[in-house]
Order: sequence, then structure tokens, then C-alpha cells
Amino acid sequence: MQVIPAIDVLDGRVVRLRQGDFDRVTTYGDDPLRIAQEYEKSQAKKLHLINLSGAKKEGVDTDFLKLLREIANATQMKLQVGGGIRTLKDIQTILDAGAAKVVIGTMLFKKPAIARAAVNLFGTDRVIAALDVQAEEVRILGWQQGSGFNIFDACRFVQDLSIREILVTDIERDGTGTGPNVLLYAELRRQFPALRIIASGGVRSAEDIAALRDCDAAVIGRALLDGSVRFGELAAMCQTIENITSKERPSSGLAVRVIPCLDIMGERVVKGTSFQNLRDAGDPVELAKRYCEEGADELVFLDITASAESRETAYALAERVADAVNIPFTIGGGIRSVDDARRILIAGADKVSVNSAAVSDPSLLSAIASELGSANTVCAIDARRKGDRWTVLVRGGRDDANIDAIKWAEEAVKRGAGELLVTSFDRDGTGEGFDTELLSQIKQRVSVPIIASGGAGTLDSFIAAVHDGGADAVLAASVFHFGTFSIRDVKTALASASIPIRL
Amino acid sequence: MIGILRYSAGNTRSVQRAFERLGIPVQLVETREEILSASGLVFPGAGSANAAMEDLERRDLPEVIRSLQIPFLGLCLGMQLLFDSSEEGNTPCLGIIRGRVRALPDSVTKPHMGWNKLSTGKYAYFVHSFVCEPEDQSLITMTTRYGVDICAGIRRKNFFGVQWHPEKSGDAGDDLLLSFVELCK
Repeated sequence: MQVIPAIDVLDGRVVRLRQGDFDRVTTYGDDPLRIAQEYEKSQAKKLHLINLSGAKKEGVDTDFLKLLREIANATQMKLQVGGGIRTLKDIQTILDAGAAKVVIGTMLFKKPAIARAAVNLFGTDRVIAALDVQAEEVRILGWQQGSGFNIFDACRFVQDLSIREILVTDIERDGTGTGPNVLLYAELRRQFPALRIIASGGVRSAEDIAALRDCDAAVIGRALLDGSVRFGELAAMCQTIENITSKERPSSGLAVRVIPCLDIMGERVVKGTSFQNLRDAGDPVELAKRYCEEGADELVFLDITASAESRETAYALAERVADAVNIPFTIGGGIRSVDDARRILIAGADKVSVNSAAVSDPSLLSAIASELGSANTVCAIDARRKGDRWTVLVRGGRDDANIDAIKWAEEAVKRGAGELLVTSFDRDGTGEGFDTELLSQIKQRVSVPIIASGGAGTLDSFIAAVHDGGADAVLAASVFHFGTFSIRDVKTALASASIPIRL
Repeated sequence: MIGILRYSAGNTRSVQRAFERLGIPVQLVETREEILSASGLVFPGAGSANAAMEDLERRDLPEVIRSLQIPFLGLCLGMQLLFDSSEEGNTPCLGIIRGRVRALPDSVTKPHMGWNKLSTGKYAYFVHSFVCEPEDQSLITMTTRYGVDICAGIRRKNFFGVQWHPEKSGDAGDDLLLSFVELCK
């Protein structure tokens, strides 16, 4: 909990409006800088500075910018500044003049695209959404007009703009000294645990601060200006509250990726069982676009014919996919040289996947990784269970290379593979679930991400691949192509098992 | 029109494609004149810091970039080059932002690759092994966490940068690119 003193400036004077009414002005002198310095002396860390002239005239005037610069230079307080901000350039100007944050209100509803751009460009910590509430409705344009949003919908709207801090002013309490609307803030906190909430309007005393303990901060104007409460009293109460409730910070990690796999034959996507009995599943670019829109995190294209002629088709495919999607994608199948791999990347793929050619000549993997980067090099391993071990299959599962799959995985990573795409041949296309034993054996021995492939069936099987197999990504084909599950179904299931996903 | 700086080691084409997908006209630029006639400049980045700086120096571009008044957006390596120096090949960089670029600690798997959550709550696609460490932390516009806190976005004056790849980050990426377009209007 933090107390933020407020200074509202109108034509160079420090004023308070009663309930936002320009006809009911109280003036507290014509030296905003001096008042700011006094707040700093009493240990204020932040200052809420509002340009009422700008709010009235719609624009950021040079007199105000001059004052802002003076206060920024003369004090160490973090300034949160609002009033009259209409454009992205206004926001940049105010930040560059020394504001730590901008406070925007009307713009949120009139020009949400600009609010969103401000968050993206200047940072979510730089933007505070000011929501002025009267009887649960948010009002805009200096409280003159309704926004059509109730406060709770407005909060959701603001959250969708990636704004994380809201300043909620209860219009009926503002400037009246009648005490804050405690129930409103408690309900906001309950519904929006992730938002930083700044209370504003009607705060009179340390008791009011205590009542607002669910909020992260409170803005106070009139009570400090007219001397009815001292900043120090309020700050002491904040410290008491802080000692009682200390919050921990949620940790974050990489999202588990959901990857549709598109097996390519000629110019079509196909799918079979244990690499046989192929069925047509559609046009690769159309499917890629669809999966991208559905929330796929990445795409994998495997040319299952893997012939020299089909490599030319693969380059063309990479170009077309790169034009169509805004997520990373991998192309594999039939890559036999560094040049093949380079051409795939130049055509627009983010990674190349190497399989049989690396098994017969492991130095190929080293060469691709060192020339094109490990981050772009995926080693695909097709493994078949043999008793309690796994053997590597090559040429699309037709031949047994008589190599231990776990050992091969280790060697591939040593040679520079940045990721392993591990397919269980036995499970592929069966829907019986991923081979979690195979996955976990590999995961325990390598430090790079592994993609689970082969056997996707129930939604639980995806969860098991992550929980039991330790997979960093789950890949499936048939269940997506033939509509058993959508990408979102899988993500929802993963999320319900507390697995981090990109929504 | 927004210019995309063409340079040898970059993912220039992917970034160009991303703008094209969004219906935003862009132009590949390489000379001083072309750069100065653009409404904003995007500097894509992939490859190594030393190779990229050599490439810029060969074309006398560092000074042109340093004195830019138009909005500038550096992506991944393009953001790292804004700093004083990079540990990658001990490379002196553009020096527009005080601070240096250091290798990720050995305690984490490198590169930091995949979808990670930004401080905005959105997921973005990262591929990098080096991280920016600005002297002035207040320039950081967003962060993410990968073993350590990572500076995922930065701004000083008209120079913006993100450590991630908006051209590959789905809706969050499109959103960032469109924000930059808005600023260049």
C-alpha cells in the first residue's frame, strides 16, 4: 500500500474540483512546484500530477510541459501524469519530459488502439488506466459522458489492452472528503487479482487507508492540501499494512508448445498409421493458416517422400508458409547437406529437421548446427521399442539402423542439435498415447527441449507427455487434421493440469 | 513509408513478410538517403553481434542510425546493438543506450528459445543467448523470466527495441508491429 499525493493544475494554479466540476474550484496557491517539493520532503515517493487545463482544452500545453520538467528535475518522485493526452506522441512527450507513467482515461474508450500501442512501445508499467465511476458506470470526457461500460467490464477491457494498473475514482466521493467507496474496491480486488488498483476519491484519514488495504495505492488530494491529514500519518499506516501482507511474485517459464505436424506428400498433407495407409488431409498452406489462427505455437512439416525432387517442392512450401503464418515453423524430410538446410531456412523456415541422413552420417548434424546455428537445427528420431530398449528407424520407418535411440539422442545433442523431435513408431497414428518412458529416458540425458510425437490420443495423453515424459512440446497430426480435438482443446486440457501454455 | 534495414545476416525477409501480412507497406532500405526518407526504421536481427556491426560499419551506417530522429525499432540482435558493447565477440556496438549485452548464465539452457511470458502477460517467441543490461533500468519497457530476469523491451527517446521476435510471435507480435506503425504515422 502506498499513498500518492495529487496535484491538479489549472492555468498554473493548484486546484481541487468538487466532483469534477469546473465551476466548483478551490485554489491552493499558484506554485505547484513548491507543493510538490513539500510532498517530497514528507517522504512521498510518487506524485499524481493532473493537467486540468489540458483535460479542458484537449491537448498537452507547453506551460504544463514546462512545469512537468521543473518538477521532474527538482524532485526524485516518480510522476504519474494525466490530462489532455490524446495521441501516442502526447504520451511520448510526457514520458520524455520526465513522467514515470501516463494516466489515460477517455482515450481508452475512444482510441483503444493508441492505448494498446502505448503499452506495447513504452511498457505496461508506464500506463495507468483512469476509470471514473458513477453508480458502477465508467464516465469519460471529464465525467460529462457515459462510456457504455460498467466498471467491471471496463476492467476486463483494460486488461485485454495489457494494462495492469488502474486508477479508480469514485466520482460521487471525489473532493468531498466523505470517505472512500471501500466495497467497490474490495469487489474489484476480488474479481481482478492481477491488476494493480489505485483508489481515488474521498480519502480523509489513516483509517480510510486501512480500510483500503486491498488496494495497491491511494491517491489523495484535498485532505493533504487543506491540512486535515499529514502525509506522514498515512505513510505510517501503509507501512503497518505492508508488514501484515507481503505478496510473492509468480514465477514464469517457457510455455509448453502445441504443434500440429503436417506430413507432406507431393503437394498435399497426408496421414497414416505407423507411417502406412495414408489418407489425404488437405492443402498444407491452408491447414497451416488454420492451425495458426487456432493458436498453434509452432508447425512442423515433414516431407515423407524425402526424395531429391520433393526437396524443390519443400523450398517452395517454406516460402508459401512463411508468407501465410506468424509463428515459427520447421521443415524436415530428405535433408542431406548443409546446402539443403540453408535453402530451407533462406526460403523462410525457422528450423530444419534432419533424420535419416544424420543417422548415416552424424557429422552432417555437426556441420548444419555449426554453420546455421543449433537453435535452427532439430534432430528427428524415429524410435521403435525392442524389449526394454528402443532402436532407431530410418527411411520413414522402413529400415532398422540398429542404433540405441537413447544413445543416439545424446550424440545428436552433443553434435549440436538444439531440439529433438522424438517419435514413437509403435504409437504413431494409433491414438494409444505418447511413449512417456521413451521420452523421459531421453529427457533425463539431454538438456535441449524435446518434442513428443507419435500416439496422441486422449487429452490426458498430452498431459502425460509433459508430466510423465517431461516433454517441452507435444506434437500431433491425425487428431488435429481429422477434428478429434482442436488446438484449443489440447491447450485447455494442459492448462487445467497447471502446465504453462500460451493462450 | 516504414523502412526495413537490409543487412547480410538478418532475418530481414521474415520481418518484411510480417508487415506485408498485416497490409503495411514497407521498403527495404540500405543507404543513408533511403533511411532518412523513411517514416520509421526497423532493424531486424539474427546472427552475431560482431558480424552485424562490421556490416553496418562497412556501409557507414552507425552514425546515420545514432543521429536518427524517426522512430527506430530493433528486433533481437537489432535491440542488442543499441547498447555500448556486447560480450558476443567483445563487440563495441552503437552506444545509443548505456549498458552492455552479456551472455545468459551457464545455469540455463542456451539459447533461450520458445514462447515465454512477458510482463504484459502475453507470450512472445524468443531465440537468443545474450541479454541486454541497461545501466538505467527505467528504460526497460517489459521483462520476461528465464532463470534470470531478462530485459525483453527497451526505449530511449525514439529508439525502441524488443529482445523477442514479433515477426514470429503470433497476435502479440502483430500487435507490437502495428503499435510501431501507429507511432510512425
